[in-house]
Amino acid sequence: MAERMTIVDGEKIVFKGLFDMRELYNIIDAYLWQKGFDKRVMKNEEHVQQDGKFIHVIMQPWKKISYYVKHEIKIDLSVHHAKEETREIDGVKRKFTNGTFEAKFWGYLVTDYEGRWEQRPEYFFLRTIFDKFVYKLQNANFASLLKNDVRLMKAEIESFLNLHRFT
Amino acid sequence: MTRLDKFKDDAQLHTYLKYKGFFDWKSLMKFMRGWIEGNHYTFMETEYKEKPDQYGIEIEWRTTNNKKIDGLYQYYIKWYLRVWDLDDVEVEENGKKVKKNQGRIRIEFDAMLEVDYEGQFESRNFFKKMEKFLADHIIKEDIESGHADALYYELNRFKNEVEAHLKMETATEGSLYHG
Repeated sequence: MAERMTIVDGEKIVFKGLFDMRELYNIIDAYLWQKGFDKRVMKNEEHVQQDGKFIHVIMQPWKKISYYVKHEIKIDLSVHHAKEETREIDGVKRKFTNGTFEAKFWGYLVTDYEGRWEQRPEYFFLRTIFDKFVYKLQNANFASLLKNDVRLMKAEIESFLNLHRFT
Repeated sequence: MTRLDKFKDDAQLHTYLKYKGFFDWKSLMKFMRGWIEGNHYTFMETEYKEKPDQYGIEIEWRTTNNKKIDGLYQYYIKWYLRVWDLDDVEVEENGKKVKKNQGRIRIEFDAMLEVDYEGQFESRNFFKKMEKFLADHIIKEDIESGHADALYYELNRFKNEVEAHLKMETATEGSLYHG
C-alpha cells in the first residue's frame, strides 16, 4: 500500500446566491487540465426535488510527478435547493442557478504509488528511512507544489463566485 | 492471471452517475445504443429486466460492448443501468405539454483494456517466459500512455454525453478530457 500524506485537509467554500453552475464546472475542468491532472469523477448525483435540485459531485483528480510520487486532490462539490433563474446582463438574458454551493478540498501526496518498495520488510524499512530523511526536502517541495495547486483552484472558484455577487 | 492480464485491471476505469427527475427513457436507451454503435463498438446486451415495483417500473439493463483496435488490444465499455419508480408524466417545457418519464436512474460505467485478447502470447512457452519482460518494458508505455488514455477519454466523453442527454448541470461542453 502506498504512503499517503494529507497536505491540505478539508478547506471549505460556502456560497449562497446566484452563480452559473455549468460555467463553474467548466472552470474546474479547465484548471485541472491546465495543471496536468487526470480528472476522475468518483460520484455524480443530481436529484430534482420540490424545493430545488440537489447536486453532489466528488472528484479525485491525480497527477504523477515521478515514478515515485503522485499528487491527488479530492474535491467535494454540493449544491442545495438549486433553482434556475434568468437575469439580464448587458442586455443579454442568461440562466443562473440560485442556491447554496459548498465545496471542500483535500490534497494528498502519495509516495511509492506502484508499491515497489513494499514487497519485502527490508524494502519497506528502507523506504521509510529515505522518505523521512533522504527525500525530506524533495517531498516538502512536492507538498508545497500540491498546496499551491489546491489553494489556487480554491481562489479561482472564490473569485468566480464573487463576480456573480454583483449580478 | 497472467502478467498481461494485470494491465486489464490497471487500465480499468469505473465511474457512475445518479439522477432523479424527469427524462425520456426510450430516448435515453436509443441514445446510449446509438453512441456505442456510432463509435464502432459492437453492442451486446447481456441483461434486460423489467418488473413493476411499488411506485412504477423497475428496470435493469446491462451491456458489454467491445471494439477491436488491432490484433493485440481490445477496448470494452460496459454499463449497468438501473431505473426505479419509472412512471409516465406530462410536463410543461417551453410552454408546451410534453410526455416524459420520471424516476430514479443509476448508471455504472466501466471501461477495460484487454491485451492479447486472442491469446497469442499464451500459445507458446517462449512467449509465456517473455511475458514479464514484455509487460514491464516493451509494451508498458504503449498501454499506459497510448491505449489507457484513449479509452479513458472515450469513457469520459460517453458519460458526459449521457449527462447532457439527461440535462444534468455537470455536463461540460468542449472539455479537453473528452479527447
